[in-house]
Amino acid sequence: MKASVTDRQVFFVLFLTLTAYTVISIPKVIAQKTGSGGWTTILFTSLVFAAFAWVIVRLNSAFPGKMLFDYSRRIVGKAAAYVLAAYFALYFLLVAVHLNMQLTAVLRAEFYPKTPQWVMLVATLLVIGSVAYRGVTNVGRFFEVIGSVFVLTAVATHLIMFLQGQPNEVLPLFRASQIPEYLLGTKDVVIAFLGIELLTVFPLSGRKSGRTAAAAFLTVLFVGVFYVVVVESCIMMLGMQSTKNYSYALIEAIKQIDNPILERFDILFLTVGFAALVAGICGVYLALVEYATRLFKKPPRIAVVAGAGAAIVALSVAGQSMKNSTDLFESALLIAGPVSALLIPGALLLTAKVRGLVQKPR
Amino acid sequence: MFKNRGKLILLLVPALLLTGCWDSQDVSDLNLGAMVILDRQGDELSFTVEIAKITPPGEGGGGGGGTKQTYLTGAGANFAEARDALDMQMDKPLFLGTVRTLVITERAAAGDLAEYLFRLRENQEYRQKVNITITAEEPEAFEGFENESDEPAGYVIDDTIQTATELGHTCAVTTEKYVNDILAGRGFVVQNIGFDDKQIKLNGYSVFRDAKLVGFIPIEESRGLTYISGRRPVWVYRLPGAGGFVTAEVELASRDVKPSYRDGKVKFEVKLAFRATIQYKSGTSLFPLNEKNIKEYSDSLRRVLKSEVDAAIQLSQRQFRSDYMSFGEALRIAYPDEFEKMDWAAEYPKAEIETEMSVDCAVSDKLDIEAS
Repeated sequence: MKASVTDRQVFFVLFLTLTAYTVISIPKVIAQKTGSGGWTTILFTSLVFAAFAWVIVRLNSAFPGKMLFDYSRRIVGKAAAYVLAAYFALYFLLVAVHLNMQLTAVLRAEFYPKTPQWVMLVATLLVIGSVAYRGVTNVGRFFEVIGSVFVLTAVATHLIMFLQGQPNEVLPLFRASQIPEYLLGTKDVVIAFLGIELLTVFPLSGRKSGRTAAAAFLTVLFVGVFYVVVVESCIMMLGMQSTKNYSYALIEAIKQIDNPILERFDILFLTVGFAALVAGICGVYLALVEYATRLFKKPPRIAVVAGAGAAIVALSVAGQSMKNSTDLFESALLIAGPVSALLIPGALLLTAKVRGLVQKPR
Repeated sequence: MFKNRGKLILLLVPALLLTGCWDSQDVSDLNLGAMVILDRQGDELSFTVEIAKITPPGEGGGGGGGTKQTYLTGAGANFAEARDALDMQMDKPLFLGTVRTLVITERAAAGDLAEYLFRLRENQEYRQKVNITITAEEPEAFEGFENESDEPAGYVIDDTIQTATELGHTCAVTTEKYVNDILAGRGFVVQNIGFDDKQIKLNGYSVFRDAKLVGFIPIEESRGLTYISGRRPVWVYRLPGAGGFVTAEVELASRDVKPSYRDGKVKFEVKLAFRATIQYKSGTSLFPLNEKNIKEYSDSLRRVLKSEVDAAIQLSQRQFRSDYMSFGEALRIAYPDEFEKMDWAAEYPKAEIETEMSVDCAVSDKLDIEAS
């Protein structure tokens, strides 16, 4: 039996990967760029990315049990498939380094100011490496467990934030005079939806592919709605002006929650939110490993996993010593991300259709 | 690889636990702050920190009444120097996560509040929900504070504000709200505390405009303010009625602020609906209360409430010229484009604000008027 993931696992893979780090920082981006009408920007962007999540799932479903590298050999030939695999491996390496740097930066700024970042990096890599080593199906199951707890905790937390926050801070919900800003803001939230390209490494069974494609489409829309809930509740708790100043606005907003049972409500981020963030990085690590094993067939999988981990640690440590490395990574991702998530899958689906390789959904 | 799961766990568990080691601190190796007082004397800023003593019940202290807290003061030309001076006196590192109250003297609040709040926001050690109060007292007065349970003054102040909030007597907000107001250029009020016969008392509110202290509203004159700004204000009134004095508990049921902007003029219509519950009356007889005199009482209550709210609005517009009751927010939401272009701080004192009160008066469910 070929390895594949279920619709539910597709939901959690997308949900955790997309929200991994962005969920902490997106309130600041919206407060700075679009203000109280930012929810329109988020939902509009989510619609675009939902369409491309549908594209990737359609591609995967057309070649049951295969990932992008495998079926791209049939669509564009062996040489181009290797080029694509190399591109995706480098891209996921870039994303993994970026996410690891952000993870350690958040932990250092908010929870562990004295702990060296390299220690956090190594500890994280040991955990996610051991999970990624297990392969696609196990990672899918891992996402399912962590994701369920994360969704339940997030719903409860944001419900409390809505009840305790100041509604006037997110009003007016829409200003016709700001429509150009809402549209321009999409470029600033694109990064929040990068992650759908992870689907290229998750083979599907090919059964009920229409339903799986719809699930992926709706999941990305759900992520959009989730971002809106996060942004609105954070702004309600912190205020619009304050939110603009916080790099990790979600954590700061959670700290404001008044709860007689749990004084430090932000401990929920350190446990559940952190687990979800680790799961998100785990997905990216897995994608890197999956493409790297296609490129380097001779070494055993454990060697590829260890090599990828060593590369991530080395590049992350180097990145941490660089000035403005986050801006640099984000600028690179803003170009490489849409190419990986939108351009390549779109072009592959189109070529496959032209060549008659894609059947109608079953 | 990792076929033996025990080996995997052995590898992962220390890796996970190690990450906290650099930041772990034993509570007994720390000075636990309970309150921080910020003061300014001329060109010099000072921090006084109240350090709570960790003494197990029944040990040391010599019984009730003894001062169990330690007070240390550090002064300097700026916040950083003052903190350095304080640290030089610490036998153990100061832990600020346990601080429950920040007291700022009126001298320091006059011009240093914004910088201090920004400093506070940056310092992750502090509880971000810590209470902030202003005081006219000298920092030394807090060092002499005593209570039966030997609780630190910082805890008592926090509890006092908490109690007043639960009773519906304050319009307390979080530190983050003050920061947001400062960044938005809005006026705001901060609780003011002092001593009344050596006991900590909520005195009223210190008023801020452009993040600078501009005045004080005594608690006795703050009812109107709480009706406009408080979350769930409740006060008790004793007014003439039914041939004596009738006492009723008055609670704000709803608040509606409707702004309008025409021909460059800003106008607000404030509609407040109150629920009054008559509790008892003076004199030896019980109730000769009927619909007629309940209506009369309700009317006089409405007039009193209106005068209190009108006075509060006039005070903010004429004396303090500070929109600490957030009328600007209602205008911003209704007319965002116009609001963006105007200088609201200059417009607020000129704004026309009309108030309308309604009181739904009823006798407490515990009493049967018919029987009287």
